Amino acid sequence: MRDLAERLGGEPVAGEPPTGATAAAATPAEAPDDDTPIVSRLAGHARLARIVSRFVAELPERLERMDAAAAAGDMVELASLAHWLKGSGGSMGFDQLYEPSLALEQAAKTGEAKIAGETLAELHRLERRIQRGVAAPTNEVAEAEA
Amino acid sequence: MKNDIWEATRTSDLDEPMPSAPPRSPLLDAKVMMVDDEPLMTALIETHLEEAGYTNFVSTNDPREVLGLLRHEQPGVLLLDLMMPGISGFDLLEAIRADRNLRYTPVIVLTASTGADAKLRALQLGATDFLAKPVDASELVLRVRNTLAFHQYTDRMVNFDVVTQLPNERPFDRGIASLLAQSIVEGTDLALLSIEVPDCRLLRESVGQAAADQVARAIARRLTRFAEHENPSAAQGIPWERAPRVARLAADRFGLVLEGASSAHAVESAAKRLARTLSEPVGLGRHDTVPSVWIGIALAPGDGRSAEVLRKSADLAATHARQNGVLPVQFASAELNERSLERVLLGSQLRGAAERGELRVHYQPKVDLRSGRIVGAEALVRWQHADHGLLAPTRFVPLAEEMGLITAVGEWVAEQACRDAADWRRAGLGDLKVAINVTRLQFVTGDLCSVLRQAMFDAGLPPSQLVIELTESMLMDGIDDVLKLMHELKALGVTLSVDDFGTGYSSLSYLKRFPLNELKIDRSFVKDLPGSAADTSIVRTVVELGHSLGMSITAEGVETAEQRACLKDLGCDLFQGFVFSRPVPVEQFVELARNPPRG
Repeated sequence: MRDLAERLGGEPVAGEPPTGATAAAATPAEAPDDDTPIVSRLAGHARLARIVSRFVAELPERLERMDAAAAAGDMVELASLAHWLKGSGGSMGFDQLYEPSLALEQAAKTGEAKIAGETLAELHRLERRIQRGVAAPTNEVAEAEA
Repeated sequence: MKNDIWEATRTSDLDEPMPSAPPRSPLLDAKVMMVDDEPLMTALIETHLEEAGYTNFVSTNDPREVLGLLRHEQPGVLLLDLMMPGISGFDLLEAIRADRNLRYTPVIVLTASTGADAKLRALQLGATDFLAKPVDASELVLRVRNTLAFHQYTDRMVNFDVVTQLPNERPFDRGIASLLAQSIVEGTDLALLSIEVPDCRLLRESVGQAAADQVARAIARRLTRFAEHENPSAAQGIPWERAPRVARLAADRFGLVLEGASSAHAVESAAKRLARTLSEPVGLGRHDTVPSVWIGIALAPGDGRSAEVLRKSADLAATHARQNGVLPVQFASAELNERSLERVLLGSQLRGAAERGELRVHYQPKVDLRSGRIVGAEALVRWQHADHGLLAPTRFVPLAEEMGLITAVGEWVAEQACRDAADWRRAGLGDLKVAINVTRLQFVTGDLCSVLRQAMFDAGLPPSQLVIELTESMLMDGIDDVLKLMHELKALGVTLSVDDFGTGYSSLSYLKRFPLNELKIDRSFVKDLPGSAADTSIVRTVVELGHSLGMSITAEGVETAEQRACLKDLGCDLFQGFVFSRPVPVEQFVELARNPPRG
């Protein structure tokens, strides 16, 4: 199944930095100009994929709440939202969300607004790639865009 | 414990099909409860576990619902998120461990926390295991499986006897409570047997633990087989898993529940059979041991309406039985013990009653309804008991059947009746017919034909004067064998009659096949004549049916002149009953036959 997920454009499990598995992703994932679509590890499983798509649909609103908390300086709320994303993102098969969520949670807890802002921006970029993955979830499309 | 619970589930990333499906693990039926404020997370976990074969789920996203839901659902495992708004997982865990009824629920804590603090705190509060977020499907499935398996293992340790694998008193007592509730609702009887087998304790002290265990296992096997055989109705009732009918209650004590017994007497004879079965020798290598068995019987609701009282009553009765050391089976009720003792005494006295000349045959005249003449008599056995006086068959025939004496009693009656009827003939009373009753046991197992042939020969009685009365239920019991035996009897030249006709379930098509000469209409159809229109129709129909098949019809239990007149009008041939005469000793019968009363 993992193999299938990879072939569908998913990326390897967390641990190593998410360098991108497709041929198109030559630059590191952190690079602001990387817009490779991200597809969930679980996308190949029909019933799990339905849950994942609900997660993806909710993601923009959650990030907006993070933005609002950051703007208001509500670090407790921001840490809590980051904690949620840290646990659920990977569970939904988006391992790339783990490290930035962890970094955001820690930054919020220690009150480091600058780092929080940077990681939040990174999360927004990942979110856009995830949305692109939903719009173009197949390998063919990913290759065509490369 | 079997190992199979560890071979529970395949993990969800094992996608290749299995060559042959392994037996489904019972763990997969366990109820899994999930608590997470994120609905997507509970949906995800449920889907992963479903992939692994689990089917039974409860989930909530509202932490406030958790305790109520736990009490209601009693899940096999709880997957609990730690970070939730309002009530945290820590608070819930603390509340669960403080609740007497929930305290032993296995709890797997889900946490995205990376630090050691949260884990330590959860462990301190009694978490059974951890699952890290993000959730990995394989890890989830394995942790759930292991937690359930361990819980099942401890559950077995708590609820089952290690030596015999029988349930112990915990599930047994719980089961009695449900069975009791059901029996009270349905108005049926429930018997609890407490079975003491001192050898299971004594052998440990004298020979060793291994020998004691071997005896316990043998007793458990025999008891289980007996229970399954005696409790066929249990298959439809509360399942054994919820109410085990057999248990090991202590080292030297076992328990058995009997459902739907027809009477205290039926329970007693079952208990006696059980005592005999259990005290058969048990092989212990070089030597055998013959276990002594003491059984106490408590009957619900008479001896107790709660599991506790019922158990206590039965245990006490078994202890009394052992202390008295005479009768292996004792009732909890003093009155039932008295009756049981009377039966035991009576039984021992019944042996040899025929030889001591205590059995009697009384005769009830069979009278022709048209001529009013006596044409024969039904022979009925009585026991002239030294202390109790003259006993009716209901007092001792069931006992004789139970003790295997019925064949001997039956033979004695046949011989006596043949002698008497031959005497009547010699005394010039003509060819009065004598009817004898045959019990099921004689009919099925005895050598009835040769016994009757010998009795007639010894007495010098022509077969045409002998009537054999069978009951309706005997006819329907293994049709082909019965038919064969009836033709053999018929070949002797005797007359065949069906007693209590109309009370059984005989099929008319069978009736046609049997070589019968006489139908006896049961007294229950006679007692409301001539007033009852229904009974009048039934009797008229039986008379017409019997006549059309070439049989004569006799009415039993005729007590009034009106009944007698009515039966005559309906075309009935013969009658017997108090209106003419009770069953009387042979001398009185001869007198009646010589000088029949007018009317």
